[in-house]
Amino acid sequence: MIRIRPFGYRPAESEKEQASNSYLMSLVAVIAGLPLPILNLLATFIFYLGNRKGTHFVRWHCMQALLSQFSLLAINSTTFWWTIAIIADKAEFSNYYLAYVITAICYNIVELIATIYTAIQTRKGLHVEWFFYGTLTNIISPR
Amino acid sequence: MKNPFVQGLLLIATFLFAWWAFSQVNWIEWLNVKPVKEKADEKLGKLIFSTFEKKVVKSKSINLPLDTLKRRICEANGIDLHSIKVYAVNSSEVNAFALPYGYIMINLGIINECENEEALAGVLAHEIAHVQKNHIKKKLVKELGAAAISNLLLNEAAGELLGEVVHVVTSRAYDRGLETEADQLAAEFLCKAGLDTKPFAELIKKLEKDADLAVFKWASTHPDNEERAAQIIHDAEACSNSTRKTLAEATWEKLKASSEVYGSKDL
Repeated sequence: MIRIRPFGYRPAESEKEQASNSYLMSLVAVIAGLPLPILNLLATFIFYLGNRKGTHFVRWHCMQALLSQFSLLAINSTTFWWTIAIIADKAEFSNYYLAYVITAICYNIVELIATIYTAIQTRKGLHVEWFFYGTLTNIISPR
Repeated sequence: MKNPFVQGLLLIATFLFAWWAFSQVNWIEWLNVKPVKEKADEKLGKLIFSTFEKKVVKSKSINLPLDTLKRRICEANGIDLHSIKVYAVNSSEVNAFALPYGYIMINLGIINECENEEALAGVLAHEIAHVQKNHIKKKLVKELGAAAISNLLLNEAAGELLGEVVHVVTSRAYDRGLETEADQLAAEFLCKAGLDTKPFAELIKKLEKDADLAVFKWASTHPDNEERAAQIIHDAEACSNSTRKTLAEATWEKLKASSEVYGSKDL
């Protein structure tokens, strides 16, 4: 799921810090106590915009962090609006709904662990590639 | 496998498989979970009710007859008694309304307008019908939107929003379809309970004449009352059950007298 791979060059100290911060941006909303799906994505996107002219190492990790937020947005938004629909009597409260909520929670936990792990490894200057998001980032941000 | 398309599909498949696997467990039973909807209804109902608490009448001569009428209607129709909570409100406004979670508020004003217990039972049956069909929630969602209701549930201190919700439940009419449904169901309730439906129809016609007066809110928020009254009488004709009184004459007289006395001390 997550692999440490060699990068094209050894990143400088400031690059390691910037790249690590891109993953921490996605935790900003959670830390602030507002786990709204869109906030994490916005924070990560703004950080990406601020670093899009940075070095390759920083840009690459900003992009990977950003891409991983899209699937979270889709999953968490579905949970949110499904819950609203149940409250508004437009959908039934069912076992499928509960199972979806539990699956979404598990996905968020996995993503949180992966984000924290990647933030730590990136801070050490190690290049961490995620399954699917890493591959996609390699295509979007080639060396 | 470096194809992102294949990896993406695999990721989606993993998520869907996890969802399917979790859905094989009966979480509702295992966690003994009360549906989100029920909890939301309870919270919303209690929140709105709290705005009326100061005006709730505590007189036994008013509350006990109301409870007796409620009991008669509910027992005859297999409705859980605890799911319906009837309160008399010290207000001269001729109005009765239902809140989420089974709260029914009957203003003293409308009690004063009822000439007999059957008319009052009709008002009660009408509001119980709204509760049974969950019309209140449908009205709130239609008028204010689901997101606004959820916002209120998450932030009870949203005073302005709560004010709007109270205004909607007390003042705004249900749409015609919901009103007709409530009338039909009320007629059925009254029939099964062995209560005469005609006094309820007569009350509606009577209130229609005075609908222009601001205090006659129940009539002004329920349009086409002549037509409604005619439909209620038509539905009642299909009822073959014999009717009988619920309250003793003295109890009814005491209820009327108490509501007039209480009403003169409008809070």
